[in-house]
Amino acid sequence: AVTAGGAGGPRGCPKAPLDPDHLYNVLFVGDSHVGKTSFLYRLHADTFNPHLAATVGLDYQIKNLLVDNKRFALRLWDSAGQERYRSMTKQFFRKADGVVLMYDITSEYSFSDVRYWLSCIQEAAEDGVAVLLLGNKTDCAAQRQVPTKEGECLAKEHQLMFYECSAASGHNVFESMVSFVRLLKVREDELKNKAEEVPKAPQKKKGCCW
Amino acid sequence: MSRLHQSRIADFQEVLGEPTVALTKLRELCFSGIPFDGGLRCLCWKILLNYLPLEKALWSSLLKKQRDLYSQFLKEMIIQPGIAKANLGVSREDVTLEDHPLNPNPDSRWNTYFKDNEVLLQIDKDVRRLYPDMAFFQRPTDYPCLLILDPQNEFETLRRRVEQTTLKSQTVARNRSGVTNVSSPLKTTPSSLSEYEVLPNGCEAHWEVVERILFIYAKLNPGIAYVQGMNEIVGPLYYTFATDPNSEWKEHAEADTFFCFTNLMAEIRDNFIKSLDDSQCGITYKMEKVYSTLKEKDVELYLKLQEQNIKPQFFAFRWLTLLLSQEFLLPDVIRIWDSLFADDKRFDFLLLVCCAMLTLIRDQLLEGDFTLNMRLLQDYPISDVHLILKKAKELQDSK
Repeated sequence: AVTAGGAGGPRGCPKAPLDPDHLYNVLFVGDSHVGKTSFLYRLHADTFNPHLAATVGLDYQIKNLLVDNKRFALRLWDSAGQERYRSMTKQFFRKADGVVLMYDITSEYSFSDVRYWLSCIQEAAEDGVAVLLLGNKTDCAAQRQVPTKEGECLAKEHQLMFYECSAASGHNVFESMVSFVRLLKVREDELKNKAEEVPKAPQKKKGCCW
Repeated sequence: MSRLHQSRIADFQEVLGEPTVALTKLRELCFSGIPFDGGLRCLCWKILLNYLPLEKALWSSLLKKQRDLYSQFLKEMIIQPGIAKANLGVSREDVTLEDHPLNPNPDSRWNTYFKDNEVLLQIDKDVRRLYPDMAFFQRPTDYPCLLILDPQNEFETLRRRVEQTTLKSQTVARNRSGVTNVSSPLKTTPSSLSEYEVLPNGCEAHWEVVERILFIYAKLNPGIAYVQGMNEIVGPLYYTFATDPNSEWKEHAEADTFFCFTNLMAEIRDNFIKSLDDSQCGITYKMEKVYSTLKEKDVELYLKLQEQNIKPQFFAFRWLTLLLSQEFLLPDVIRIWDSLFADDKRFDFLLLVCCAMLTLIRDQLLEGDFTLNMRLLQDYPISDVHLILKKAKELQDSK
């Protein structure tokens, strides 16, 4: 269970654990204006800031979470979504333990670009990198263009973890990150086990448990 | 007003009073900061950015020519397509017309129109959130573009175009998800639009002016079009010119900003072009230059950053590309730009400013771990830009 300084969810964990048990690099990607920076702002400050400027280059934040009695530190790398900045972002895939791939449920365009981003991940990231597919802006239900089912199907097809969320309302922001942390932990354990095994022929990309 | 300040103003007035402006002298003065008084900064920036020639006798004819040219751009790129759209809209059913919305020909005017809409929407989202801490960009300009806001006009303005494009995509959304109860599209304004008050017809906010400048620039420079971050470059220029205490300059802030922005972009546009990243003029080279300069000036700090694997891409990319405009408050950004624009080898001094920013927090950086240091660099702790500029000058002189 998530035990974070009280009965509440992971929210009740404001203090930075000095020595995290686990440290993960997580890269946020997706088209521009889907809400990557807003999501991170919500995660950090638990409020919505509609005035965030477009990200140029790369932003960085740390987030500490206490999940299942373990201290996790997440290094969150926020990338610029626009085409011009993508080559820069690609250089960071290799460092990432996890990738959060975000689209905007009110923009079909951003959803169709998910496949582009997936191909980038496949190309540049380590095999077995954990990927969380996030459909943001559930608060804008009236403008929805991407049905939940489509997101689910795509996630299933590529074996990704999937959530819909809203940085504006806070819906599923912490919940999705906590689940993702658990997935990252599973992946880490798998890698460790693999390292202990006798080296064998390179494994094919393994699907995740979702 | 302090005596020192008065004498500085007098120095500027003297240089600007000559029939031919002595550029070297002017640069020297500007480097230490330009007074706002009497519109001195606006004037100096226009000279430093090669918009105004040094021969003052040429100013009035040049300004007239350029401002007329800008009006021409507005007519060709906003008004005429707007009229064409309005007309085509009327005769929409007549598919025997040579050009129509579904024309796949890349030369089709409709094709161009839709492509432009993508660029326009991108600009729109970014300029609406320009300097959100300040009310200025949300406020109406005293000089709305009369060409465009004439109430007699029937054509499609950029504002209407953004609204139309956004509404259309909503209609599609409803069809796709199979929802049949039609709610009034007006009631469901996308949240991105409703966050900011839309000014009544006949008024336009300063951000709308900036939007137009960027749109015209994108149309005239299709190779680069619009890249996020350009809004942060045009913002301080426009703010400076649109707050000129002289109304005869202020009323032309839009056109003057456009040309100064174009000139400035001519010098820094390579930073915005992906294919040049790894070339001699690209951003990667400049970022490395920051580190190699740091290595010369403060090897201990350089080694520390190397050891922690803090790459210049993690912070200097934004510092350099945006000329530090996201790192400080607008008045401070403007002060830094005085010095940057005064640099005769633009933008070498910028590299030294970046270096100075690093060395000024060296003690913190040498003690900090990766996370702490990344926070320092992403959210730079010193707000006293005079201190930073002084340090940068020291570094320059300590060659």
